[in-house]
Amino acid sequence: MVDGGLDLIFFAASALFLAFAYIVYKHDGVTVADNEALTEHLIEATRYVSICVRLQVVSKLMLGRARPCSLYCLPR
Amino acid sequence: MFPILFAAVTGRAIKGWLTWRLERGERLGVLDLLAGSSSLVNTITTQTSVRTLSYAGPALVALWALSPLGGQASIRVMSVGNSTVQDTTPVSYMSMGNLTEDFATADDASPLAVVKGLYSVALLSPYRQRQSPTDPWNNVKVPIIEDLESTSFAGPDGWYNISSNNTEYSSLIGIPVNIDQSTTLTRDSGFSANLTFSMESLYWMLDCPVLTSGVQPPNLFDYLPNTTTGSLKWPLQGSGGLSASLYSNTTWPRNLSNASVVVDESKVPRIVPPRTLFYNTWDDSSGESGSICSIYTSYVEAGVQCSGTACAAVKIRRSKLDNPARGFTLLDYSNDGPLFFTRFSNIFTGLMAGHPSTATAMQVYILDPENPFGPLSTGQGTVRLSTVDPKLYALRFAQLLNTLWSVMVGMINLPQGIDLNIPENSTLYLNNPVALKTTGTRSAYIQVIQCHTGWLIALSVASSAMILASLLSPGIRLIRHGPELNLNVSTMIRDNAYVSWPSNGSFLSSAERARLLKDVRVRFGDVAMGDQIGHLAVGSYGDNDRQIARARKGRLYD
Repeated sequence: MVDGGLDLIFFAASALFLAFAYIVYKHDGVTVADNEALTEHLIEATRYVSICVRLQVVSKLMLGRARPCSLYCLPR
Repeated sequence: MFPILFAAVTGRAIKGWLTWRLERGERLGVLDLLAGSSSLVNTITTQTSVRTLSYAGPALVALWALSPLGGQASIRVMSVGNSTVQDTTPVSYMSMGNLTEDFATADDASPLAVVKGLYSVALLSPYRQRQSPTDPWNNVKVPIIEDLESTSFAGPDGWYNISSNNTEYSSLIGIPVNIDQSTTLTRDSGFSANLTFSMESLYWMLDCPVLTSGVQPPNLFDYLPNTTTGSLKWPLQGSGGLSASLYSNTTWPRNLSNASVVVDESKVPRIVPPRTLFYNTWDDSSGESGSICSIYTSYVEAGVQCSGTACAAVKIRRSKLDNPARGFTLLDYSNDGPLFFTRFSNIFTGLMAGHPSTATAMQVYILDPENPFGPLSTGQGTVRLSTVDPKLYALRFAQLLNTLWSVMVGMINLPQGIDLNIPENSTLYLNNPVALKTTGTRSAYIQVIQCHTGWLIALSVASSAMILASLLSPGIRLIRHGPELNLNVSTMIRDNAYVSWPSNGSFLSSAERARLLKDVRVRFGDVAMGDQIGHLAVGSYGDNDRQIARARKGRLYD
């Protein structure tokens, strides 16, 4: 049970990095002035080595909404 | 974060691989290598210590090398940088080939007042302004290409670059330009954009080989009328008085059109002899300084660069259009006999009124362009235009003529700018468009999200490897049938003859065994302490039937 949960967490965390790479690739060349919020999130995701930030960025951009995680782990 | 996650995921995967291979049966060297592979350094040191080469060794090293690489890639894959974006925008600029009808007749008192005002401003403007690429209204001056052709080399496609120290401008007045500022780039980027475009233009150039003390032509007075109301004797046309006079021969126009006003440009021959100008100015020694000049038209294409609303010509080349012969000038356009040049001459010589025996600012400009309204223009000092270098004389005289033409053409547009939406086919007195239209290329540096391909590939590879590794562990768990093995000491003492433990319980997982054995004391020591030669092994101690001594220096072991 514990192993299964860990496997799931590790798989999700690993997939986050790949998803983050994909998002950066898809937004290559996007104008900062037109996408200030997006840029801020992506920069935070690279600047702060936080899995929560990556989780929030990926969930926001891929699922269209932020996870509750963002309420406490995103730098203010 | 990435290296931590990578170590966790990969470590679990390698451990699962190890237990699976152990269950299936594998060489001990490979198993030891897998067991020692907990980091990049440990993987390398394990290989060197075991001194075995196998397929697993380089693969494990490569796998662990992805850990720092992925960590760096996740930070460096993205940045914010500058990027050049371009769009196009309509540009209108004043054509130098036109003229308002106000100057078609002698009834030009009102427009002349404007012309004189604008001309005076051009001459009165600071010297630095007159040397600059724009006029007092920020209009774009056209450089003289002849100077560049003789002093520098042309670049690709015949372009000459223009720098501030190698440029003489054809006129003190520039060309009004209007740029459409409503394009997307200007409106949305929030950054000032640079605009480049090419504009066709023309100016007059003079060749003045004859500068004399005394009037030109020497028999000028033979051509002048006896009365003030009479016209000049053929073939001379022009106007002037004692202070300045401008005459020309009448070798042109030559019946190019039946119309009374405008010459059909398409009928102009390919080779046209230039018009000859006789310009006489007041001279404090002989009364008159005379010059004989040939006048040509230079058709050029200027490359203009604008930063914001400030524009300047940055390169120039000969026009590639099918223009009339150089000997044909706009002064030849009117086909109403010698009258048009006479009117032009009358305006030119009457621009600066003054005492008949005092040089005007225009004449002083030829002597001293830095200070045309200086002492020389008020009768102080010596004014002898015949002493000026002929090339400089031609250049400055041409600048004065071109300035007047610019003022006449741009009487309305110079101060207030040209209308962007003016119809391209709108013509005035001369049969040329009032404004020319072109398309400018607007470039702007804007901040964009930059994805760095190299780091993107590194992050993708490392992340993919991590994902595969995260799937490996549960996958192996599915195909394995034995209990879970941890690479811990409780696993190490499985079925150890020196450990007091019931022979059953082999089905227990490492975790369960570890919990049950947590109070058993084990030691790697001498299990043959009563013999002459000892034997080192891991075993339990502390119970009644087994003693394991600690290894000692000096004792022999098998």
